[in-house]
Amino acid sequence: MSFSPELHHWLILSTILFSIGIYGVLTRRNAVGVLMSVELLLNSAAMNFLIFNHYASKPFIDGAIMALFIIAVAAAEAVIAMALFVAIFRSRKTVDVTQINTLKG
Amino acid sequence: MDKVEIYLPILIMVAVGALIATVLMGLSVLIGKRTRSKVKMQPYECGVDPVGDTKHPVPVKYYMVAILFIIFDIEVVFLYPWAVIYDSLGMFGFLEMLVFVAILITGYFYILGKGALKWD
Amino acid sequence: MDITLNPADLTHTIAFYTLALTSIVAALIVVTAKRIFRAAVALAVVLICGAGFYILLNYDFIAGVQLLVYVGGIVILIVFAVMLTSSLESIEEPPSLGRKALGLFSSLAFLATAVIAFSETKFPLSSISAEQPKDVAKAVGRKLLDYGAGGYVLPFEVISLLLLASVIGAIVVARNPKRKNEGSAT
Repeated sequence: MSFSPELHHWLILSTILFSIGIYGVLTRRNAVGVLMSVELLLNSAAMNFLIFNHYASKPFIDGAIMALFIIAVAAAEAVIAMALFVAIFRSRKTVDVTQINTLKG
Repeated sequence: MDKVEIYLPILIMVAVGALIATVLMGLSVLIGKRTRSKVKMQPYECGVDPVGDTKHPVPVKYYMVAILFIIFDIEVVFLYPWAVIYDSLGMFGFLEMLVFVAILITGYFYILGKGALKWD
Repeated sequence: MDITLNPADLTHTIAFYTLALTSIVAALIVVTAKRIFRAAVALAVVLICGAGFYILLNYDFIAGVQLLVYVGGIVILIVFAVMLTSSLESIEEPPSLGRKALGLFSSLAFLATAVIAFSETKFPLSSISAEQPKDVAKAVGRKLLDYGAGGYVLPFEVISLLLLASVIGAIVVARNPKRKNEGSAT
């Protein structure tokens, strides 16, 4: 048996990173921490696209383009999230997601 | 495999950097002399006694610049693959990129109009 | 049953497992660290390891993009957010036990489901002789600006609209409504 990384090794790696991200999204209290966990999720999704591009459709480049789009969307999402943090922090003085529970304030 | 050859210098640099940092910090922990008296912790003789604590939130204007940096960072990422094949693209490729940049420039003028980049 | 001892292959394997271990440990720090600033630094480590993985997969251009945008941009923005919303030393209260259990259950359930699912699946692997495009940046550019079938020119233009919307949205949301001089519309 060979230990050199094959498709399954890569997939298990990206799945582990994704499930760590899920744990973070569900347990973090600080909104910035939730954003970081979401970045973990997006990163492992982009990695999955590249893994499948490398192992399953080598002559094509579509997976890499998807990864590029994911990175761009992640950046836009981070920008919006930061704007929300600034606005929430200004009115509430906290970014604890368990404390932000009213729609009208 | 040539990939190993290409990235070997980077690996060596990372290793050397990590080594220097660990050795220097480790040495200063090991052989440095530490005194933690009340006098030592005071500000220097002509210094001003600190007022309040250091937990001031950073002003929002820094953050505005950071936002705009990210947006134009992404633009550069999409410009690069266009630039490396520009020769073989012809007029249509130029127009495609022109539309892309024009849309982003609209955002830039919006920011300027709103005065988000004004420092005071 | 062959244990490969090809040196290039061996380097590849060692690099893969080292990066995998580092990124998993750092990812655990990201989700559990009590000091949010440490989590941000650990996130940078995870993303740098991600760039390493992309190099191992032969997508050097995407690795560069990852470093440029994620590590150079998003992590910086997150550090700014940390400094804006809390002091560097502030310690986050740990989540309640029920929350922890729920998180652990969901993530482990996902992990188990996904691992079982793809160990049962036969993926259509590309043939050994298949060649990856030599210059990833050029191949990406050609595909990105291609307006024929299978081209990505429309998503490419839509990305610029997305960025425009996020700039305008961020400015509108984050601007202080009380300070009049900040938003002197023409």
